[in-house]
Amino acid sequence: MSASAILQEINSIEGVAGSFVCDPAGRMIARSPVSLFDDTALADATRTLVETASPLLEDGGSGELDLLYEDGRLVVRPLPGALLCVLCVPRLNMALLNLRTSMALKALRQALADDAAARDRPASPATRMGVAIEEVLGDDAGKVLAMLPEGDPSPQELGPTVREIERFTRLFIGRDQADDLADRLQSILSGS
Amino acid sequence: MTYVTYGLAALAIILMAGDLILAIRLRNALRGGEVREKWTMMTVLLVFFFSAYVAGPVFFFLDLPTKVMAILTFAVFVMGAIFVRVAISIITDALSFFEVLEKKRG
Repeated sequence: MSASAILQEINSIEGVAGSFVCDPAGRMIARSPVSLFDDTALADATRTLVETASPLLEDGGSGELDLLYEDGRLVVRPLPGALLCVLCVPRLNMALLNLRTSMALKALRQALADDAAARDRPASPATRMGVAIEEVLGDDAGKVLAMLPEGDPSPQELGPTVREIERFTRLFIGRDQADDLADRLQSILSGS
Repeated sequence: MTYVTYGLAALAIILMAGDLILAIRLRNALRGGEVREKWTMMTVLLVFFFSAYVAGPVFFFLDLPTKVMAILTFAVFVMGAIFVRVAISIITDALSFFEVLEKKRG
């Protein structure tokens, strides 16, 4: 389950306006709804929040920060390398919120770990081919990029596409670009 | 009879002028590659045809010898054959790219 989907579950509690996850630098990792405040205001708020909350909340610990205002309430709970923040009305069922956020924290830990693993993973051949196509063809890359299959196809599946791209480029864009592109795409496919 | 000859020549010149404009527009729209090279060759041939179409009635008006007219006519035939060959080549390129053509076995 994605972080946004987990946040949506928290938001389903009556009185919760929205929730978000930010990193220690105050950068937004996930939020729901997306329209929750404008980006600049939220970035400023999260930076201030992180500066305030970091001494109180050990990274990944079990602490909680509950900021109660006249017309709103902000509940902050720590995650490994991140903070879960829930914006809600001042008076709501805190027991239910605590139960729901405790369950959400486990799922969020997994989702954030998955996201981090995905970021660390080397780019797929299709992604690298897209970069090579843009570098070689520049403004003419659009139609050729559309020929790349969606998703994360295997090098075997990409073989015929490479031949099609080379042929298209040779016919409609230029011989030199076709030769250059064919070399680069083949080297990506062969993993060199 | 003479009026019919000039009328047909004028119609051919008008049609060819339109074709030439279309061919030049399409050539400018093509970014590059083999198709553009072949299209450029076809456009050059169209320029030749247009010139020959204009020259034809002029030669007729000047009452040039039949041999001169025959040379012009057969030159148009030859260039026409080359034009058709280039056109088939472009169509073959396009169809083979879209895998419309059946591959020959063996």
